[in-house]
Amino acid sequence: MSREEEEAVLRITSRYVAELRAGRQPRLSDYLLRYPQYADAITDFVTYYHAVEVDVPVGVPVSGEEIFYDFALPPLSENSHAAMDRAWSRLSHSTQMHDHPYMTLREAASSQHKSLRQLAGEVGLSVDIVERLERRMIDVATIPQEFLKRLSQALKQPVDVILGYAGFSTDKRMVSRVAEASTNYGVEEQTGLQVQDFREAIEGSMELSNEQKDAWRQILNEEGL
Amino acid sequence: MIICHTEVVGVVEQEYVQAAGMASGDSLDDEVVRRRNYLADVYNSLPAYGSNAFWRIVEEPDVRLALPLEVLVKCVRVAVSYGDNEERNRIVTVIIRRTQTSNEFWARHVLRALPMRAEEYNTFFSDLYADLCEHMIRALIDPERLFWEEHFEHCLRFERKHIYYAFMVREGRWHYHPDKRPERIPRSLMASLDQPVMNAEGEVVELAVNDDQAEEAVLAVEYADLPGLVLRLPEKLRAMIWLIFWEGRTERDTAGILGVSDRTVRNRLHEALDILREWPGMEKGAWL
Repeated sequence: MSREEEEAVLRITSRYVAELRAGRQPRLSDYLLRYPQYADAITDFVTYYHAVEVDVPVGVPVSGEEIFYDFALPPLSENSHAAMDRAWSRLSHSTQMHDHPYMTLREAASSQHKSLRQLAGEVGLSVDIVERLERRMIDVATIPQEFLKRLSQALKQPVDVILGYAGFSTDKRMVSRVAEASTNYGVEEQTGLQVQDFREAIEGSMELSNEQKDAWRQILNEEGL
Repeated sequence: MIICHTEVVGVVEQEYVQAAGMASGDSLDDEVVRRRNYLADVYNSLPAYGSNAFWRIVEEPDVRLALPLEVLVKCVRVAVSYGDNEERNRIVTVIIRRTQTSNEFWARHVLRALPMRAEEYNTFFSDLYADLCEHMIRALIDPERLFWEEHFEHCLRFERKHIYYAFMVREGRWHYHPDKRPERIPRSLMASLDQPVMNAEGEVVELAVNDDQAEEAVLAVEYADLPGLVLRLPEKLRAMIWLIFWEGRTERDTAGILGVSDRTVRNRLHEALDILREWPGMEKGAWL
């Protein structure tokens, strides 16, 4: 089920629950007739809702079975503390997996079933520039935040995970800024290739249209790069 | 870190426009539109992100004055978009705190219906709640999941549904996996249930497809317990059992609603009753 379909099912079933909570008696059959394309998903939720959720309180602070009437938000419970710690620990482990040094932009795109060209199109760049990024031939200190945000959306990963791809790590950006270095010496030594600024790559691209170049110039100016 | 408020508003407005555009084909009722506008207004009226005033509102201890959870989700995503992990975690903690009573109630409710040893209870509770927290956090930091910014409680219900299914399968409480469809039985191997057949004596007889014993067992189940029973059936059988036993529909009505033939309804009913009959114990609560 695609993200759009999931959202449609969420929207439809939220109406069912709203009707029920309003004291009406919604009928699954009406929903199935109206949305036959989502029949299984709607039935699945409705049966789950009546079996498990119908008695779960909504937005009312309770302790065990008793309802508090003082409207004060209870402190974080021991259970919540422990559950949250475990959750963050698992997420952190998962992020470290994404930060694997050999994870490249191409691999990240591939994990979303996208080619490098498709990825380039989604972030508003041409494939020649994305390939340079992939090969770490663009100085990370000159990459605009806007690009990272677009990449984050295209790869469906938070920015902090994106920073791990292709050497966009915060540490490298900091080092480059502090040293005022315009090149990534490590990469240059390894590949013998010229490392460019992001702006230079935009200006020198043969594939980027003039409109796209203008848009990126404006972004770079706004970010002071 | 303090970020200019207008930057944040720009992001929000853009995403609300995208969301509205995406749903334009849908018949969005006035209530949904009003709610969206209300949430956008609340968000837009927040003080500058990261300021003391911002945190006072985000961490408001009086639940009557607290921000809608949907707005807090938006705030988490803004923190994520700026790579601001510390403030992201701080807002997530507020959300977990705001939802802990309902989530803990849910976890207890799920476990209460399961037979288990007392020493297992705490472990299961911790696992269930940690799984839920992990999935909640993943959803909260995923900017693609827009409906969390529109209807938090309902998204949370769906998240709990996924955790519940995964838990029941993982712990061996369900042998059937709701997402796994059984292999189809070739049509040629199935006798027609409608057509009369000839028995060994050469007499033409009709197949009796009704399973009175199983049907009576389902009818004996308390009305409120039926959903738990239906939940354990394969997906394709659920709607049919629901319509017949919960809504009191006839087989013909059910066939019309589901867009299948009367015969398919009878076959599925037979299949469902077979499954129910094989379950050990139809006593109250044993199927949840």
